[in-house]
Amino acid sequence: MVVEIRIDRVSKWFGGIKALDNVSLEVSRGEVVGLIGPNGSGKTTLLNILRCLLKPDRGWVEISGARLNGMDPERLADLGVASIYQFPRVIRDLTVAENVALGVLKRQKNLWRAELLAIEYLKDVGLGGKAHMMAAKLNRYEVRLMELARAMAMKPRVLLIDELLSGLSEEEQREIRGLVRSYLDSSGATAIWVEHAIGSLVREVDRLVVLNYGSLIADGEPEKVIRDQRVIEAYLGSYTIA
Amino acid sequence: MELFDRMVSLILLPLIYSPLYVAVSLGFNILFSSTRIINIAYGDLVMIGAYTAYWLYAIYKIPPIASIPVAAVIGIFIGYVMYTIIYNRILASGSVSVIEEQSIIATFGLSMAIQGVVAYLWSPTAVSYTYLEQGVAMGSILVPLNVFIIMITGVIMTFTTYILLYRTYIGVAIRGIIQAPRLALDIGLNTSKIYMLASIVSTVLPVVAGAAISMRVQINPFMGVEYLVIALVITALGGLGNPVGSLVGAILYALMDSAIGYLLPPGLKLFYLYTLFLLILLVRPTGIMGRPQIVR
Repeated sequence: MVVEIRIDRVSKWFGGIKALDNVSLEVSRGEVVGLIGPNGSGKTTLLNILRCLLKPDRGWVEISGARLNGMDPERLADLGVASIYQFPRVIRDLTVAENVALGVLKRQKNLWRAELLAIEYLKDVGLGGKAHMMAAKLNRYEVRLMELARAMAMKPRVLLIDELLSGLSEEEQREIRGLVRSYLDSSGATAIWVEHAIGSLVREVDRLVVLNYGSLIADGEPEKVIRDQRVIEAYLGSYTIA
Repeated sequence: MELFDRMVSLILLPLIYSPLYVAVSLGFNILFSSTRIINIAYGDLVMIGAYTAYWLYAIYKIPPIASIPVAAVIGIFIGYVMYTIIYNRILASGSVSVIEEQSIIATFGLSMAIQGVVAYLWSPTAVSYTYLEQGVAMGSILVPLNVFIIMITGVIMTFTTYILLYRTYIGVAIRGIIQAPRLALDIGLNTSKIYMLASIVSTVLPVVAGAAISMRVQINPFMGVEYLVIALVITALGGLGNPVGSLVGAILYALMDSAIGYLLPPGLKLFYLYTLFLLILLVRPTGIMGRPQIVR
């Protein structure tokens, strides 16, 4: 199995706070790994290191064989990495199609064709009808869908997702989870998917990894991991219900 | 006949002039809305274009129409230099308020320097030349041919700019990138290249406009102020960050200008014009078609 993402003994401090403590993780090509943990556990920090926004203080990270060591984040797109943010970046003065078309840059410089491609991806996420609407008019859920469409439009080899589900209703979460999973299935992309809620990714990921206070405390089959005592304690605190 | 004449001078002539006003203000608007840089030396770019056309005509007898491509090339060069030397550093700060402040200070100094050098080299005395001054009769008013040249130049510039902004990938990036600079990183967009292109577009327009209007104005080192004010007024009128607003703003400005000139005593024309402008802004601070700017 080809290792697409390799995180090797990564540690990161913010001042006196150790955000990541000797975290190691290997993700094979095509694998979908869920990354969960309580607030402050270091999930987003780890993802930001993968996105080259931060450098690890110890250890190193490799994506598709390329060592990410202070690399320009701009070059990540060349490597085939796309990311979906917790706070989607909407360009309000452009149309929805133009927003997504920006993601097609690497492949298609002609705006007309880029927009046509963008509309295809928008249809895949169910936003086809709003393609020519100003992006400022989308509601919060639709903005997430647009962000997903833009990431899909980049045809990434690696997809990094940072809390796509937070703040969405039950039904919206179900719908968007399904969209992501079917996209990952059909594209074969590798993914690390960070979410906060303990049970949110069980069906969508091949493997579940849990961080707590910067340390990796569980890594395995989703169903088993969420029943792991250490994981439950991490979320609820370590007292038993009498 | 009298009514027709009046309509020509009050409505038709301003409309003939407005494409150039659009082009003049577009450069300023685009630069500001895509990079948040305020170019106080903007009017001086018009002056440079005017002097270019003047010298080419005075020394080499090159007609202004041929000077226009020369002016465009000069504009590209100036835009590139201004980006590399000035804008690049200012944009690196990443903060909107810092960019706005620093750009005002830097370009103000640049403006003073440019005006000083030109006044030294070519004297502060105004010069002018006549070209295609023969008139076309519209009613009993004789409209010089060069006015039409100016109009056509303005139309071509405006049209080309809109095609660039709305129908090319680069244009979409220029319009959008300031609202999501971190997105640029993620999708592999080179923001320096985008900002440089925006800078170049925003200098080519005023320099070419200057070459075009050189046929009809008194050219002197300080003529730029008037055009900076026009650019500011039209941009604010039409809406910051909205290139289509520049179109609306320019037409409105041209009509306001002619209406005031006609209705009110001439001495205070500028005063009335700016008062009207102020009133409009008080009612609609973001301009007629402006969108509220998101300050990060």
